[in-house]
Amino acid sequence: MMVVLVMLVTLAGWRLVDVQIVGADRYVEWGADQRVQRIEIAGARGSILDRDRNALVLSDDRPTIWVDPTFVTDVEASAVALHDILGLEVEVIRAALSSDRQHEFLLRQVDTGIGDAVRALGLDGVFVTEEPARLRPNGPDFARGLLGRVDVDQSATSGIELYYDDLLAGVGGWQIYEQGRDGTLVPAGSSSGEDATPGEDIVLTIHRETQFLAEQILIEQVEATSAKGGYAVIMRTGTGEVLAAASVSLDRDTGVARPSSYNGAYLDTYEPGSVNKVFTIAAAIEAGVVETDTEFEVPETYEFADKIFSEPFSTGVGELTVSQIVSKSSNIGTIRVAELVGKDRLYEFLVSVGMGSRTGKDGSATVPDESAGILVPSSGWFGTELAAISFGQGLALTPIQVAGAYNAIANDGLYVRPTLVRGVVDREGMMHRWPIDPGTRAMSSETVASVTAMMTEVVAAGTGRLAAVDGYTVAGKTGTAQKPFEGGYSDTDYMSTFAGFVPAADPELTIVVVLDTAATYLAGEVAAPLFSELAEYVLRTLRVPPTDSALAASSVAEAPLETADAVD
Amino acid sequence: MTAISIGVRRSERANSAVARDASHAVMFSLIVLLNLLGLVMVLSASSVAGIQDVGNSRWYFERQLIWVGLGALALGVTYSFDYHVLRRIALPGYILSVGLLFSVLVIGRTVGGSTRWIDFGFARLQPSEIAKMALIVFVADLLASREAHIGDRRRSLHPALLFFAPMALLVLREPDLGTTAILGSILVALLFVAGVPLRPLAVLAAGGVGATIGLAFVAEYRTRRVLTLFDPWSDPQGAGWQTLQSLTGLANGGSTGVGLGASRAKWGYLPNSHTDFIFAIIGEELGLVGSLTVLLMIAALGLLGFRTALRAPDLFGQLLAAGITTWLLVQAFVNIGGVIGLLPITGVTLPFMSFGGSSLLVTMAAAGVLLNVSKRSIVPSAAQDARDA
Repeated sequence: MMVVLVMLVTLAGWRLVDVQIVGADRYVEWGADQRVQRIEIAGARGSILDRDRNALVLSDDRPTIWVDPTFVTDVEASAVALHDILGLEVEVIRAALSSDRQHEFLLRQVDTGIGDAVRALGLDGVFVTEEPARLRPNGPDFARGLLGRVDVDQSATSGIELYYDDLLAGVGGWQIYEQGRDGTLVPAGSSSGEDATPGEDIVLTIHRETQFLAEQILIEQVEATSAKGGYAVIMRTGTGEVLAAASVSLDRDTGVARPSSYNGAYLDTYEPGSVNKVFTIAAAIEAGVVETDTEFEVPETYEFADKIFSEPFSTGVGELTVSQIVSKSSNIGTIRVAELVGKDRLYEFLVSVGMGSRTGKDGSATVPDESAGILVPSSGWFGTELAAISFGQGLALTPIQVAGAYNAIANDGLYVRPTLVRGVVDREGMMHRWPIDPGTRAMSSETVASVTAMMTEVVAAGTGRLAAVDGYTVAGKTGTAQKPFEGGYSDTDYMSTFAGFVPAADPELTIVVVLDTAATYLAGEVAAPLFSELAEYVLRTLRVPPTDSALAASSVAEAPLETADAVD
Repeated sequence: MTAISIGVRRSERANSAVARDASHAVMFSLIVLLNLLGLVMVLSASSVAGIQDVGNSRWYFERQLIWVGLGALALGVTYSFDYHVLRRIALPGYILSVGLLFSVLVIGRTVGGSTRWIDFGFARLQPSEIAKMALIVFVADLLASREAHIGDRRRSLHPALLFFAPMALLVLREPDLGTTAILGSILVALLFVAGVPLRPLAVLAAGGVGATIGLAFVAEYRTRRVLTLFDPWSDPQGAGWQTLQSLTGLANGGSTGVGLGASRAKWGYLPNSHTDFIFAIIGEELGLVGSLTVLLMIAALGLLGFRTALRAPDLFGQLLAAGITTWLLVQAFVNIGGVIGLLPITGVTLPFMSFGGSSLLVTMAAAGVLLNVSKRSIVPSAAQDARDA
């Protein structure tokens, strides 16, 4: 018996040595696999602020309702009770409650009141936990295409959210811990981790009220003219800062327009039409080939590179000065000027005001998927290109490019890239300004003076009379461009643009409005009044003092456009 | 047995008196130490289960404390009187335990597919625990009273088997193959020590082992346990789960353990960690040092128990000591064998250490009897004289 005992002890002892020391690794590893958990902790996402640091998008915790079906005791009663609060279909809730997974979301990131109501039910297996949600204090539609989206898991998918995700998202942390079989933390277990670093706040150049006004006024006009959509870009002339970049789309079925889901002002391109004539004329004056009162014979039709050009809208035939070519928006007149400029000089001039490249530094994008537009280099202009491009066909621009180009005229000939970000606010609340584009000279002050005078005339007596704003002198240009389609140009679909700046003598704002396929399409009839309405509101909102003497006396006291910045 | 016994006796003739006192005290100390260590380990191992089951991490510990106290009382009682008194209650004890085993099948409480407990509300009684002691006392009395006719198998082996059979069958019916095997081992040990002819005894023992193995494959749940014993990885989430969790706990312990209270297995991974699998928690928290120490303490208790049997003043005492020692050892090895993955998991407790009221109480009472016999050990020559007289 003793021998047997000794043998058994030896056998058990040997086995213990084998399990606990020699062959332990396999079991230890298996145990760790089932026990050790690693969770990733996202850094609190930074806010997107307007130029005055009003929150446009911010993150905050919101209740999320989820279930662990293994703890659910009464599927039917729970499903009915939850239906009353959440409004989900009973079948949907029932399916989640009886799922064979351990974690099913019912509703994520709901209002605090809903979370409290679900908590009050005290249902077995139904849990309410807080999770970070992306909130838009100005409503879900406000600048939505521009700001972009983060999905429910806080991962950015578009817009500013995506483009500056690295800054906004911060650096994720992690936590390693050991858990019991039911998920409880094992206090004796080893744990390690690193705290998440919250993201920084992005301060946009966008001015909240201006953006809001631009969207609302655009929506009204799109609906009123049954347009497919429209764009409005408002820039601060001196710095190139974009105060508003609105894109609106009309739902054909309902006749209701709302801000587009994507950032159309940067992503959509179109043939600008007559608004481009200003640059042909400016290039000619800059080159010294014409002056304001140089006269041109403008026939009814004009042949260039084996193609017969005519005026789409009756502008009158005969002798026209350069100034009249602009104010009457004559295609043939512009072609004749362009012939004097030549393709290389015209191309270089268009490039110098930002056409053909994206608005970021060195042609990089300012927002995700920004379009560079289409501008074929002059080395590829073999036929009618010079003529077509001179009056705005055969090239494509984004609304933001049109604004940038017009801003070069407004800014006394200095082209500055349209910027969208003023800077970032770091975790200590310190504002770090991003540099403003110092600009490149596109034309002389003399050229600017001549072109501005012509553009003022457009509003005073030409096609853009409806763009006038009481108390301010407006300089601008209309453009009613046929939309191109396969093999030609449409006779019914037009892009109606009005681009300009105000006050003409010392511009504060550069504004571009575009309507896509309005029912009544003459830019002077639909785009110009839109410009006027928008400019009037924004001038008032930004307290730009009137320049016309009659109104100047009764105007509000002059206040700087630049709002106070707390730190810098 | 006789030959070996004489050999041992002769070698110990010189220092018998001192050795007797020492082994008696050592045996008592081992029982106390195992109980205390058991208490500490139950406190640790049951803390998570306590919170999950009743919301109190010390719930199981507090009950175990009471049972250890009651067990100490029982040990004191069975240690004090002359163990020969037991001969008078041998038959009533046998009848009572068979009656309890029968009633457990009728009114017993079913846990995990087997009916082993009678629920009294404040405590649960496992009649098979009492049966072990009753079997020892009854068969010891039977064989001791037929000492002169041990060689006649019809007067020793056959009657012992006759009384063993109903007990074994009733326990097997619960079903509790582990305890049945322990009962069989006790019977074989008693017959062997009494001096029943070796050949029929060997046939009986072989038959018992064969039957146990055969039965292990009859029930499907047992077959799975046996098969996963050889390869627990074949079904890690099912039949192999408990063995794997037990081995993982042991492996986590390594040489010196993860520290008292720091077991991971007890966090819901290892079922019954404070009862049948307390040894795994010992190995995890105290390491190989702890598990080997417990193993050696049990072995030492076994050796001293057998020595007590050799030095008992009469055959009844010899059989009591041998039977009790065999019981404790076999049960300990069946339990540890399951924990370390050498035997199928059978659901028997680790004597003195596992949480479990009636089990601990009866074990302590038996230990008292063992110490009682040890107390009356006589020097080898005197023992020989007593036998001769």
